[in-house]
Amino acid sequence: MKKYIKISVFALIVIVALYNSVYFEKLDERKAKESMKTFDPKDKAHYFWDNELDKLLASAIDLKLFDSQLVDNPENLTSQHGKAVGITSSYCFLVSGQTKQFLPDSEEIPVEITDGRSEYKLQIKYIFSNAARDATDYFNIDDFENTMDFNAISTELNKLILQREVSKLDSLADGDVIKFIGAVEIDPKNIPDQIAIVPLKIEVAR
Amino acid sequence: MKSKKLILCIIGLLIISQFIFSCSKSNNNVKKIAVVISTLNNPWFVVLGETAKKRAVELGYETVIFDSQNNPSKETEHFDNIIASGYKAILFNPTDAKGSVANVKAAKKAGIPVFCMDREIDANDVAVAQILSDNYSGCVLLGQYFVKKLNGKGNYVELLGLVGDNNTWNRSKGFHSVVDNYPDLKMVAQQTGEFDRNKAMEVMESMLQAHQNIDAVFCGNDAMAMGAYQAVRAAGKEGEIMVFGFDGAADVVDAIREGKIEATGMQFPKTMAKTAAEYADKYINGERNFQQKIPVAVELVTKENVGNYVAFGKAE
Repeated sequence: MKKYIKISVFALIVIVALYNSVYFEKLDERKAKESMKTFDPKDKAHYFWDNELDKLLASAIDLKLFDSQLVDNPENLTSQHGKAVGITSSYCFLVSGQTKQFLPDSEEIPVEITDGRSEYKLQIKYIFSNAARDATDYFNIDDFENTMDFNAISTELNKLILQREVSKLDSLADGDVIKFIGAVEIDPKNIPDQIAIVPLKIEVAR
Repeated sequence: MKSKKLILCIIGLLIISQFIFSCSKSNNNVKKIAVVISTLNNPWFVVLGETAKKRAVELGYETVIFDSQNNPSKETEHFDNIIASGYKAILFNPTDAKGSVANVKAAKKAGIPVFCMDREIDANDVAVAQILSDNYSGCVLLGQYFVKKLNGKGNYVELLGLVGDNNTWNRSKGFHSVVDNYPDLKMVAQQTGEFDRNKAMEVMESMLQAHQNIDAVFCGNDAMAMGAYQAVRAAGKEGEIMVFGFDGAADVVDAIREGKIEATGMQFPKTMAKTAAEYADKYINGERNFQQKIPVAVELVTKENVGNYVAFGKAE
């Protein structure tokens, strides 16, 4: 009798131990959970573009005002509107403006402003750099496990710009007005001859 | 007589013990900072380590530099010694983004704050702060210049750095984020040169034998750029193959000036090292509010603007 009790207690311990150490889960559910844990820059960029970007673009300053302040009062311009990540002399800004000039098959569109001091070019073929990510100031580097992930956001945003905004220019006709909100990255102490604008929002007015 | 000798002996022992005690006490009062560098076999890291040491000494710390010789187990040994020796902070240049996390965790557990310099670790809650070059953006600039110099067409090879280091991939990805948009630019080979001049020279020699029509080589650091340049020169192809580097080392800045190398990305090791030492000092003095990752901008150095730069920084 004692032997049966011993065996029963031992069996119970084994069952409890096994129950707590082994569990079953559907493979598709498991995979879904794992993919949630994996960093996906495309998802993050799309979420930002669809849900957050428009609110942030409201803070863009007029390109003419930007141009004059860049020369006359760069300290005020950077303190009021500039965004910088880390230790750098460059700042990113959100600017708004419009242009009528369009050269088919070109890589950029010139943006002329009355009494402008610098030459501005709206980028419409190759979008590089972190200007879009940093000017919008939505992503915090400390939220990313490593800087590669942080930079992958820029890559995805730059793709979205070409897919969703620059593509609006495909059916452009002569005389159309291109209104834009874009990102500019610049060192106010070292202003280049040409300033590139990365478009974040484009509207074509006919 | 005997008791007199005994009393003199006791007094002598007391004086000696007092002296030893006071010495050990004064040693305890000196605060120590450790500077752990991935390798001192590269002048760039020597500048990083020496600048960190100099700034820490200026701030009143006794400072020792440890060379990990690009060997993660050597790095772990250094951390074990540092933890056992009562250091107050570690200014750290890791050997491996993932492998070095355990060492930083061990230091944190022992109450020693770690400040990463130049190279990051794959964790954002272990080190107090990580001061890093913005490698990606720097290589976007280099990529744009590369495309311009090659007129958007040609064959090129890439020499990568250490595969376990995030800087290697940030540089490569930044560069490719630009050049991959140009279908007439073809990468005919990509291989690691392990950030090492001699290794890069060997790899480049093999690449030159395997591919007759190389127009350019993009190197993940300046030591490799110099190695690649030596191989190109030995093959009699100087002037035919453009060499691009990354770092801002003295020999490459000179080579750009002489037209031997096309461009480099100027990093600022002195800025990173000084910032790390100053953060450590602030931490030791009670501050706890630090941003985890602080990228430091990289600037493009070419023949057109090389006059504005010296080795490892801007001309004064």
